[in-house]
Amino acid sequence: MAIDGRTQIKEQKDNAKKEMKALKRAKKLLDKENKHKQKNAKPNTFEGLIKNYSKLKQVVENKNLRKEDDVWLKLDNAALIYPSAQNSNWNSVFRVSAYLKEEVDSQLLQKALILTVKRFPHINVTLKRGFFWYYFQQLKKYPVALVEDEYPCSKFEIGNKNHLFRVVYFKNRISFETFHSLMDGSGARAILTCLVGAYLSLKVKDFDVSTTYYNYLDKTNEEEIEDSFIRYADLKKTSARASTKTVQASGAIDKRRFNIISGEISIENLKAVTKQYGATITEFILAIYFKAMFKHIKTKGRPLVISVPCNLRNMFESQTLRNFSSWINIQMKEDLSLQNMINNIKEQMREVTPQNMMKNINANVKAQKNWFIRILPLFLKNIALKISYNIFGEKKYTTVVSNLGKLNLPQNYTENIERFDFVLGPAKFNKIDCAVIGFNDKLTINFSSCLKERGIERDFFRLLAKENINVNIYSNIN
Amino acid sequence: MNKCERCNVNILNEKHCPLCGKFVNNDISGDVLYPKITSNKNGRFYAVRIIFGLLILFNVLAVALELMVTKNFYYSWHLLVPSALLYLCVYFPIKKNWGLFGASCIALVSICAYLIFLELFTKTFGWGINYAIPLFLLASEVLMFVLLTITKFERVELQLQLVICDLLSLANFLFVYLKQLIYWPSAASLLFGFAIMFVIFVVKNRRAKKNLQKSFHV
Repeated sequence: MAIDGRTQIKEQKDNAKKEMKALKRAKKLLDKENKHKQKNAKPNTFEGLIKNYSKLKQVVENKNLRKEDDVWLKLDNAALIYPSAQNSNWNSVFRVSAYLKEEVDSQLLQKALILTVKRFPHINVTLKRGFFWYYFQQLKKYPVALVEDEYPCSKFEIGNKNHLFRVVYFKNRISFETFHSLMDGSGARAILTCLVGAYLSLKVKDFDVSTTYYNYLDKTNEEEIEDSFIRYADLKKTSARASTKTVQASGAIDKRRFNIISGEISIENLKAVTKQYGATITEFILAIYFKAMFKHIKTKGRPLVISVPCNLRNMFESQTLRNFSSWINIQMKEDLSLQNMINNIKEQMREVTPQNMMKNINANVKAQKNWFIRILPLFLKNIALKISYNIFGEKKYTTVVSNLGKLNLPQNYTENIERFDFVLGPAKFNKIDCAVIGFNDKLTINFSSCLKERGIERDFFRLLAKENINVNIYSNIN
Repeated sequence: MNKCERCNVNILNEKHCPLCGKFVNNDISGDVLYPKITSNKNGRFYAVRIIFGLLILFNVLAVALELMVTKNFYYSWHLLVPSALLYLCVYFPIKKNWGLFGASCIALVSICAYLIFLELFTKTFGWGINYAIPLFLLASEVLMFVLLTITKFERVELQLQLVICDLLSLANFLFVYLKQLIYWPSAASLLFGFAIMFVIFVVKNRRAKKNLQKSFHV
């Protein structure tokens, strides 16, 4: 009986094992079928086939970067100027940073960076020279998060299969620096949010990363890599580009340094003051900046001009994370009282309308689509674009004030992030620039300058303090 | 955090106010927001710059010395031409941050130009155009073939470089053939170059077919 019992148990065990094996096989087969279905889930229509051929689609669907074939992408309209305008010492770079409440873990940051690049494959590219235009070529390597050991926004070594962005960390700060051809401030802000979200999801237990609009769990959206300039440009409409002669800030240049002076202000405090003047935060900052500049720049009868980038996503429906911004030049001829200055700026800011912004877009796209320009080889285009950038680019304004706006993030993010920073890199001709970003109740105003003198920054913050605004200053000057 | 009385602002991470330089007596031991920049990232570039500066100086001195002593301008060519070629092959690609393709192409052309210069300079016409250049190109092609095989025929730069090699070989062969000189070395380099191109074409074609089959399940 005992033997029978043992044999029964053995048989039962064998049967169970067989069942398990059969189940595993069935599961494997199911997985295989699912994978096969996913692979074959391509539309059979002609349109579908064309879509599958398009490089754009390939970028989106690129899941395994190391095995993927070469994929390339056109530069958007605004991006075209930057590679041509660069020289051996300068290219257009800017930085967005997030200050966490704890020190950054480098290994987790690297993992988060890979997750972010997988989410936004269009940033994992390098810049290549074609015969007619520059183009982005996808890289088969992932970027590496490095410790910060250079000045912010240092020059990118473009080409040679280098990435066009870098992620650096220092203590509790994660910084995302990018070449302007790749994206604008809004794009960089979205990618940094995703990167920080991915990092926090790895670092903090039960962190729900899906609460933000841009997170690494979502699929890549094709609209995020479209050239929205081309989409909205109306070449039939006439385009005009107003320009005035202006002056630049001058002084002793410190070539080896790049100075950043940041002022942190309470948004509530600032709003209370701006309310008295009936101004928005940007208008108030512009007015104070003008006042500070009038004290230090000899105008020679010319007006001071501040270029203010405008996010076109607010005016035209677009989800692109590449460049999609235009600008308005605010000018001031003389040093008025603060209230009069604000009124003047307000009047000029009324020109920020979709119709006026469209003029800028049309002018640029028209130039890009011009057949004569198109057939010029790249080396000739480079010469022409460099000259036009030098004449019509930075020299048409004294400085830049770029306001990225207030970042609204869910509570689980705000619990782990202290503040955000936005720094404009050194410009080709302008000696001083200003960038503004808000988060929670903190507004950070960053002045980046290659001048040894700090008069403009000093008077700017002194004027703010004079208006009973509490300012916390920090800098990289040591 | 201390207050700068002159500017009426709070100073976070500095002992001195960054705006006016006033001492604010802050304890900044644990509150450094930016790293101290010490490393010189462009060290290599500066080193190359100094070396080339010295080379130019050396050239000028050599020319001056020759003119003063022999009152003739002959031997200095041996310094000037290699210096110019070194500038083209080394300094220029580093300065422009060129990739492998650009740097190696300019090196190929420069070495060929140098061989022609030597041939013309020594007035022993024949050895360079007949043997040295084609054999050098052949050696380059062999090297490129080895590198291509190691990298599984995936490096586009090497393929482009091979095309340049083939074009130089073709030019050399045509010159030698038309001038009725010794043409077997140039023919060998040309044939070998085209043979490698054919191999690359076959391999790439097979790979493309396989990829197409994978993509569309033909």
